[in-house]
Amino acid sequence: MHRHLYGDPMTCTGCRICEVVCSIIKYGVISPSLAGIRIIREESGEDTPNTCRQCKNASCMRACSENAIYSEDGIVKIDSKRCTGCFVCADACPFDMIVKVYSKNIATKCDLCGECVDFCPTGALTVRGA
Amino acid sequence: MKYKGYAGKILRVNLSEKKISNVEVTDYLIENYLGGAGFCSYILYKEMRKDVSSLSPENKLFFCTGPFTGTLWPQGSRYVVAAKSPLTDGWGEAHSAGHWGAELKFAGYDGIIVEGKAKKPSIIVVIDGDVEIKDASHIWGKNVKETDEIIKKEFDRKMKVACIGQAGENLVKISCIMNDVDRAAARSGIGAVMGSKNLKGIGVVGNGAIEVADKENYLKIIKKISEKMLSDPLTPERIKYGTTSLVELMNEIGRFPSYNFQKGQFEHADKIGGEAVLRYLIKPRADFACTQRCARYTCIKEGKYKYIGGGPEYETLSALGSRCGNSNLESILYGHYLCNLYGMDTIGVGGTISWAMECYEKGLITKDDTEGLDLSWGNHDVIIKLIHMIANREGFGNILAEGSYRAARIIGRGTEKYVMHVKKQEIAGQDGRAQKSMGLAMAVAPRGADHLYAFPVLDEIGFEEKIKEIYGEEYLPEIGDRLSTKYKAYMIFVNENFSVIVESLGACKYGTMVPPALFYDEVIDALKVTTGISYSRKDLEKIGERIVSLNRMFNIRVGMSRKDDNLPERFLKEPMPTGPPKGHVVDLDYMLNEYYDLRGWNENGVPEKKKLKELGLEFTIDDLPRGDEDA
Repeated sequence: MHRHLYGDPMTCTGCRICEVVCSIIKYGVISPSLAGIRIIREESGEDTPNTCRQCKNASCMRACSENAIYSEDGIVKIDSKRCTGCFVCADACPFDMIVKVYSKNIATKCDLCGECVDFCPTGALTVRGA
Repeated sequence: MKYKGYAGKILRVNLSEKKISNVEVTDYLIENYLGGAGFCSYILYKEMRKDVSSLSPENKLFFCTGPFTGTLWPQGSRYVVAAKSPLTDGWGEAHSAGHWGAELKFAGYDGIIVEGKAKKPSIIVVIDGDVEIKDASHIWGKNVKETDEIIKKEFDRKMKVACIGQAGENLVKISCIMNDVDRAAARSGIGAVMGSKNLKGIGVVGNGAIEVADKENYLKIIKKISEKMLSDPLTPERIKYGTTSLVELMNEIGRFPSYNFQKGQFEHADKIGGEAVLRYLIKPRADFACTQRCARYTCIKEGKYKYIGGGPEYETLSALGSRCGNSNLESILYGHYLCNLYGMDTIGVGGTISWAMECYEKGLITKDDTEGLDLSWGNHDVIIKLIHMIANREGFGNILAEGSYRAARIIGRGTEKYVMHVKKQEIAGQDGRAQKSMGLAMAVAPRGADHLYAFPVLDEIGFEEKIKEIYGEEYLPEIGDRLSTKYKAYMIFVNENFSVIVESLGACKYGTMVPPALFYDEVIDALKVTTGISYSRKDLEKIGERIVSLNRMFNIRVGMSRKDDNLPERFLKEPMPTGPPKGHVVDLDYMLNEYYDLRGWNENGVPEKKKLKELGLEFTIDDLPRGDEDA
């Protein structure tokens, strides 16, 4: 099984510290809309961390016409120098996990840096398939 | 604006003129009032005349976050909503958390001031820089959950919604504003103010960013503060029980109000306490950036009390439980759920129903008044019925919807004697006879009967090391003895100063007051890396004193004074019947005199001119009552 970030919906309490940490580490500002992880709050009580699955035959990779998206060590990455900000990859992703960075006109995504796992207060986040 | 952490502007929406504008967050505001409660206190004092009627278009409703809201301060989620209170006719303030406040900052606003009154039911929609007033006629009459769903569906499923239910629409004086479905800005009758403006809700989407002053060290400092929070010995209990286990603790020290405060211990406390609630717990839930996750998410799977939703807190277990002589936990959980749906303050609702129950017990209220309803203690069917009736102002519920103080004046017949209020607002689940500091705290708090403005906790049980750290060793043992009045004025003075700072920052009292993990040192560090402000403890204490005296002046100029810093006769004259505080009453005058002295107020509780000048509150001096001005 390939490596990817996973969050347990019943351990997660929906605090979204992961979203904030991601945006600070990657962009130096607090902005959950820039995060590569997003918590979905359900009425059932589940708080589901929506994460990039680092798909083997990634839809985002296949959709990109600039060859900007590639796989390295099982992690799907976007080359910001090749990215033109067309965001076709975002439309293609079945999990809505591509981040559209309008201010820089590029797409970004989770690169499994693991900082969110470190800051999660409940231990809900893990890297699976490691 | 030279400081980071703030959005930099406050939205002003005039519903009468349909005008939208911005108010700049100036360096003066930040340096002297910090944010949240501080901003509300300053702006509303300056912008509102003293004779404004609380349910008129002239009242202003100010939602305000702090510099920590939307950041990684271990509970960086809170906002304050303030207005002139329809319950007390004085300073009104409510606090909530959830995710709405953070979203507002990401949308680019530190707060929203709502003025005037819309001609038709309306909602305010904020999507980043885009602000519109939209028609809400199709949502008027819906409950909080339905309102949240409809607004999200119409605009954006990521939208965060603050709204009122039917209770606020019906100007129920004990109604509240809810956000994120089950988080409540509960007290001061704030829901009625929003309803009086024909404002159903405010939906916010924020895709923007908050900047921090010290990007390099921010995460490092926050991690340290977070770890201090998480490693506090009380934190595991908070995570496991939320505040529900306070039932067992309060009952043990004889401070668990029962039967409208006739007793301090409830014979069925074990049936409605933290352990009992565990059976219905789905999991703990957290507000934005909260590491402590004290919110509960619970459900009852079948039966007439079936529901799923957030809560309960200790206050509700007391208000709809022991205070009403009610040992049926499922009815308390369901009652809480209904109050959330309708948008009502469970403390106000429970306080009013339990008052009516005592009057019924004593034959002062009869079945003629209640239209046949049997208000015997513990009759949970009737408690649930009354919640529906109060929210919809039906029958007897229409009188109860006024809150216990006004309801007693409508009915008369000596029912006034049993109203457990301060400044016309219902007392919460604390008994001043069992904890003297709390008696003083609720007597002097500006929004009336408020246990949170000072929130004295360290004299509940133990905490001797913390007491030394926060107040000083020289005040032990009396300051740690909850039944002693000695040094309690000093305790309340220190607490209030810190507490209003917490509410101005957008931080949470759970983590600062209790567990007492974070204090001035942590606030100072976080303030520096978040905003760039370098403040000392003395600087912050001065701001605290300023805000407290300013809140005081808001009440002084509407005619309040020492006579309103009072407690019910039950606290002053009826000795506690059982438990550790047996035989105790509250010697309020002694504590009041000391408190006024510490605050720089005269013996009538009016701030002295020199104190107002010292605190930079010269603009309030003209509002000092004649005869109370000193030389």
